[in-house]
Amino acid sequence: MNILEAKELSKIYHQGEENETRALDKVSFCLTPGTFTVVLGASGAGKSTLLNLLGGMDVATSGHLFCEGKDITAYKEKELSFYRREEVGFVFQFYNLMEKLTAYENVALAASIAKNPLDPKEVLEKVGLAERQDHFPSALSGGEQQRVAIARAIVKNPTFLLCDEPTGALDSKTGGQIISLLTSIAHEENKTVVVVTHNSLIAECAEHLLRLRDGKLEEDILISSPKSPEEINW
Amino acid sequence: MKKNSTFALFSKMIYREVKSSWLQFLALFLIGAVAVTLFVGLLSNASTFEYQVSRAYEYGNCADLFLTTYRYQEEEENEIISMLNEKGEMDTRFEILGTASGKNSYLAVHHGLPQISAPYQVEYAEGYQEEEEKYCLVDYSLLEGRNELGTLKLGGELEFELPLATYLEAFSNLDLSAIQNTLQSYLEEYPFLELLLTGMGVDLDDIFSQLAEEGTEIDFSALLSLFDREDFLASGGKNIFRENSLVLPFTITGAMKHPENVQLSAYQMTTILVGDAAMKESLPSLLEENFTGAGLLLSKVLVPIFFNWDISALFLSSNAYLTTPNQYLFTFDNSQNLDTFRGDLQSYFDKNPDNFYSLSLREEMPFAITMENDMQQARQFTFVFPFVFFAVALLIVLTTTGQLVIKSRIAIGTMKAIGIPKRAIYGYFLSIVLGIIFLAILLGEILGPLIVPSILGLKYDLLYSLPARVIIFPTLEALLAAFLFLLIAGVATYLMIRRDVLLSPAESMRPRVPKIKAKKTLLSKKKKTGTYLLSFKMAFRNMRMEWVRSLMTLVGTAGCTMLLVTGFGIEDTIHYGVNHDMTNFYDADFSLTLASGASFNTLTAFLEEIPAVEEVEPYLSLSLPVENVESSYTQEMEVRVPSKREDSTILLPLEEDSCFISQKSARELGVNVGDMISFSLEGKEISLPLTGIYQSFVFHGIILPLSHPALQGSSYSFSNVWVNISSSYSEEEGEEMIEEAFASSETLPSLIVCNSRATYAQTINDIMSSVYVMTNAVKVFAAILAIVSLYNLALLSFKERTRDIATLRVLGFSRREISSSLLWESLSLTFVGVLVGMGLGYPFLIAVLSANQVALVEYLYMIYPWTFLIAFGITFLLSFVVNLILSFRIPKVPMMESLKSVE
Repeated sequence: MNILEAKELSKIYHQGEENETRALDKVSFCLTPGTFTVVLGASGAGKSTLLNLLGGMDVATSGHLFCEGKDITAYKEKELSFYRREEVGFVFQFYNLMEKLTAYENVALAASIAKNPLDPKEVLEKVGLAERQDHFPSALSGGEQQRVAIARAIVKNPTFLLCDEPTGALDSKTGGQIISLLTSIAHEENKTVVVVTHNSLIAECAEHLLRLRDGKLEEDILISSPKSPEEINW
Repeated sequence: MKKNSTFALFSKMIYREVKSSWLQFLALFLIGAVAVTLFVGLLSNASTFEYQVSRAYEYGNCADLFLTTYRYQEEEENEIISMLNEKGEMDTRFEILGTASGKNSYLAVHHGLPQISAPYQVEYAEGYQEEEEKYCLVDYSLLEGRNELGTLKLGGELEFELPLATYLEAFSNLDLSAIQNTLQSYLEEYPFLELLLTGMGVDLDDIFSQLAEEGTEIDFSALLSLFDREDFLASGGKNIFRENSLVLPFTITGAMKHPENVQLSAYQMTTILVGDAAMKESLPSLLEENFTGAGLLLSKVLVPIFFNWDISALFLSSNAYLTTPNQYLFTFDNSQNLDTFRGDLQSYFDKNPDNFYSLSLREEMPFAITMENDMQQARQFTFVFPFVFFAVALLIVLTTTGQLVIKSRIAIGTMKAIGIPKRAIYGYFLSIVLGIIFLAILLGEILGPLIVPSILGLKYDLLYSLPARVIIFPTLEALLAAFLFLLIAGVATYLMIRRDVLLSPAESMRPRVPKIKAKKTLLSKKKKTGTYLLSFKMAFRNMRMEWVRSLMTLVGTAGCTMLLVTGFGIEDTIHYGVNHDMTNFYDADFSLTLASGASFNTLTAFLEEIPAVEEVEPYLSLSLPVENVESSYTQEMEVRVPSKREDSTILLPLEEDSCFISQKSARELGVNVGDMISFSLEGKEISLPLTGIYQSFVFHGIILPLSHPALQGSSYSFSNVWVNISSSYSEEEGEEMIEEAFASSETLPSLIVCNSRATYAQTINDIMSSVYVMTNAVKVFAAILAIVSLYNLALLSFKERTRDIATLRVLGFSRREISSSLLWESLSLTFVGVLVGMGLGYPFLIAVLSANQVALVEYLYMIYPWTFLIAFGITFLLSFVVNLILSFRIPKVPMMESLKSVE
């Protein structure tokens, strides 16, 4: 069964006006459970627009997006909020941790609103931060902060993880470690992980690659034997 | 290519910044404008008020020096004139203290029109004009319709009660030979008088032999009883010399504004100006109404002698003036002449003290002393509330700048990175804040003098009789206030932005690093942590980390609560004061004031005849000079003597020998329990010890029962009565019946005032109305302070956390869950602020009321418990509402904010 299915998904800004912009143009694809998916594209390709639609942060102009069979394009704000809470685990480029909460508390905060959360401590152990759980974000390195952010995303036990340039703010070595962590989550937890990036190196690890160009889906391929993150020279 | 200057580009940035956040800057502008309007307006009001008073003195050529003697002596007058020797101007008048229309008043009789201390504005009754020498001018305040207290009519009658008893006392000290000699000299001058008296069967030698042995003190009671002779009395007449006072009738020829009558309050003396010609008509008409034949003739001879006036004025259609002056009024061009002359007068009367009563500078006169107090209060008032507003404005400067800095953090880093000097960055922020403050000052300095004196002037018109307002702009103070406001706002802005300007460009572009350390988590491994607990933790740490902002919120809420406690507390204090006095001193349904006195029996018998009346208690209520015997210091105060019938329930229990003084009066007189005081009542000097001090709101002075041993041996007539009515009659019915009874009575004096308990309370409330205006202002200030500062601070907190809010939204947190952290923070700070504010409320209440003392009252400071609850509730509610309003902005925070770069 598909976790996510997009059918002719379009997003048009300033529709009917002179400066009409077709940010996403009839994009269709399906995502299956436990796959490490990469959405690749240059600046202006429509990555962020797709991310916003997948994350329930914006609504499509036309087309449909199904999550486990439910059409989220028909959702109202409250349902979208519930969708974001239960189905999506979001990982931000700049981590976006609550500065006044410790690593543990940041993860616990996300767990506190979820229906079937995982144990925050176990999740932190899983991302290798058991020893740093009582530190505030400001005392953690970028990579550690991103691990906390990933822990925060998976603790909710979401349907899929949506990662916005998760290595964008990190050095290449740490970035590689983060991708490694994400792929292991995809495989070990059987979670669909969607990474939106412009970094083509990450695409080499993808099991499912969606390449966007000028708002259109240029390439939608399944890769049977992707490279392991450790194999890549970050 | 044309190069744009940094200044021009910054100006554009400033313009766009203000345009985009206009609401926030409008709050700063308005609060600044209100603070300046109030400050400059109140200063202008104080200056305008002072100017009006000085104009009243100037227009009326008010005397700089007042000399009062017991009796006129020609040699003394000549001596004074020679001492004055063109150093200044002099005018004279006969002045006597009495009562007019139930109000203590001075009757000032001038020969011709007054030159010094003269009316500066007169409205003549129909048929009367300026040149008229037969004038009787009363202050506007005594006229019906001009003032709440006024009962007289232009062109109508005025009855001036001259307290004869006090003068008879003085008269008893004169020796017989002085009267005989005076009379003899008149008889020699006007031989027809003796012929007339002899013709009427009056043997003067015989009369004088009845009064006293030659060379001894006159028999006072014999003199009084002389006029009891039936053949002396006119039909329907009585021996008016046995009364407390001579009631002199005058026709009110005009209403005036007089420099000695600037104060209109009920407890303040008013001066009534009468021409000697009017006096020459009034006195004979009174005597003719009561005496006839020899009695009339003799009274016309003896009364002038008694007052040391000119007998001849009452006979032969003489042009002579009747009255002789006992008061000399002086004006001087410079203070040196005044000082020299005052010194000369003092030396003269040190050597000749017998006829000396008092020598006072204008500022030592009662009318000027109270005005000085009022002017001082008007100035003090300037410094109480505007400063609260300035503090609020400063708080808003801090929060506005805080928000500006948060918003411009990256811009600051960028500006530094591209090499813009720090001073230009400071200049950018300072220009925005100071520009807005400057505009606020400009508006405030224009509006303040235009609005505030006019609004307060409406109140002053009820309290004072002053020349028309000429708005004074307090230039120096206004400029100084503007400078200080700009300086303080500038320093506050500088301090707010300094931290960010001093950071390296890279640091500016990174989020601020919290400086708090976490404790080892004690949360159980399995247990799910509550969202609200984590929200609380976040809020608490935010408060610690952003302690400056937390402190500002605390100050804002504490200020709001303090103002609310003060506002409601002032009302509590007045309410408590009124209830306290009504319960302890005024537990009567009605308080009656009669035009003149009547005996206890007559009065009680008359009133008890009225069906509605259940209980009657006549009492004496006199404004008398009371002396602290030990220090010889004398102060005028109300002396109340209830007749204290055994079954009376009207007054607090008074033992037979008790004499109580109010706390305020005790302080003014400098006395304590056990100290001796003395005063003169019905011509009798009374000395007695004080047995207690009581607290009172308005019921000041001295109170002692009629049964007090020191009061025995005299008969008193009462012009005040407390009356309780039967419960089967309504208050209106009771009042109507009492008024009707007095109106139809031919024997009793007329009823001037019939005050019910409600009207009494209303009168106090009217007096306190300026204070009520203040309490409402305080409450409005409090609400503005709370709304503006709490909203601004909550908005600041909100903006600082926009990214967090966006992230939480992306993570699927609901509006309620997100707002809980903001609410926790705000309500926790509000709670602490409210507690601090409640603690500060009482001292601030005392400070505010001390700066706004009303001469008539002594505040019995009181804050009821529910006032604290109300203040607590309102501040909390406002804080909650502000946060609720902000929480509705949460869904509007774009989630894309969370995706934005921070590094």
